[in-house]
Amino acid sequence: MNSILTLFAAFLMLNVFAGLVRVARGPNPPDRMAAAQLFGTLGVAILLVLAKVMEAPALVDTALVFAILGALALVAFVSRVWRRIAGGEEGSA
Amino acid sequence: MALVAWRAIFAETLFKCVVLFIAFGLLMSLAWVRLDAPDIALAEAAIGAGITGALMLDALGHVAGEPADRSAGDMPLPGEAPPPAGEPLALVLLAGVGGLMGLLGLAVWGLPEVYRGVAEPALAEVADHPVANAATVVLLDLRAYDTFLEMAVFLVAALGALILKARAIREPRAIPPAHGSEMLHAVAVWLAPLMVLVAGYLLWAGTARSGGAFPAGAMLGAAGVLLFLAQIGRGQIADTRVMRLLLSIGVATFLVAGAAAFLSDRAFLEHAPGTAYAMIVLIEAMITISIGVTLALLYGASALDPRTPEAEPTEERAPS
Repeated sequence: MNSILTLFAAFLMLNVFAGLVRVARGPNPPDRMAAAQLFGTLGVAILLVLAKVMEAPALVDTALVFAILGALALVAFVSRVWRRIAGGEEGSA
Repeated sequence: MALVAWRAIFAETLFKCVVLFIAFGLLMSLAWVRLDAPDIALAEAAIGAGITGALMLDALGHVAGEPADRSAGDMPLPGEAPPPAGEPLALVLLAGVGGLMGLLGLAVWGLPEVYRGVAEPALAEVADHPVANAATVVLLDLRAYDTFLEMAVFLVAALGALILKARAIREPRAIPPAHGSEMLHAVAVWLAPLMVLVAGYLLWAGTARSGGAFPAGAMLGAAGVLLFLAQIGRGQIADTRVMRLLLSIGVATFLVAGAAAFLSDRAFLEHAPGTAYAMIVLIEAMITISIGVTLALLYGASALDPRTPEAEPTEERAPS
């Protein structure tokens, strides 16, 4: 059971790298921001799997923190950064 | 991970840097988990990946002309004159820091050859402490002095933000006020109370397992930031007496606790036997409030300026 879960965690880590590729290639800020959101979601998933594998229920709290604070960065992005870029003359970074 | 860190500093655009910084926070947190340090993982998740990312994105919104190149980040801050006497000062600071490092190095050099470290006696103390979480015991009992000084640093940071806010009256390019979107409003109305709830939970959890004042304070600060972004309430932070009280209550609690210890012939911040649990919970609750308000203020101070570009914020300045 644990080995399957470890495989899951490894697979989720691969997803993180896929997200990093998206951050690197862009091309637009929303693409990169979506990748950042993916990191948050993946963090929740990885932590939940690890909590099971490592039998450390405290990790669920960390996952909770990731889940709740993930939205904050997005809100900050939409209302501070994207508004400026989209409203200004330059369309992309 | 090192690659992400490298890219987070030297990516072509500042925005990319911020996104990579968020990714770095996640990886860092996972690394701490694998190193069996859930407390640090939690703090990293709350502060590193969570609220700092939002703070940086906000700062990005203030840096004009970001998309062109990363040199945009080097432009002077709004309202800041180029410091003419900056370089000698920097040299003096550098010399001071260098000297301090040298002294520290000498101190390390002078340590006895066989240094057993403090881990063993500390763990022995932790074993029969009323508070179960080792990190909390160390932070708020054994090394309470450190935490006290950290709170003082927080207070200084908040003061700095207040001063900057008072000085930065002119903003070359004001951000248009974020007119309320219903979605954002709904998110904030649902999420902010949840954040406060989770902050309370983390605070309580800190006595038994991972958690404690710093993640809880970050969570509280996040709730404040969200409210600023959604422009709920006044949509800005007022420099009122209540605010100042909340800012300083963490340091004040520490000071009172320390002074009380002096009065009853104990060492500074040494809790009286039997009251350690209550004292730790009390201090943690107070520094949670201070941390939360400070973080929200650091955010709110920057959020306020662009919207009142011309008006001098006199009505908010309590006479000090």
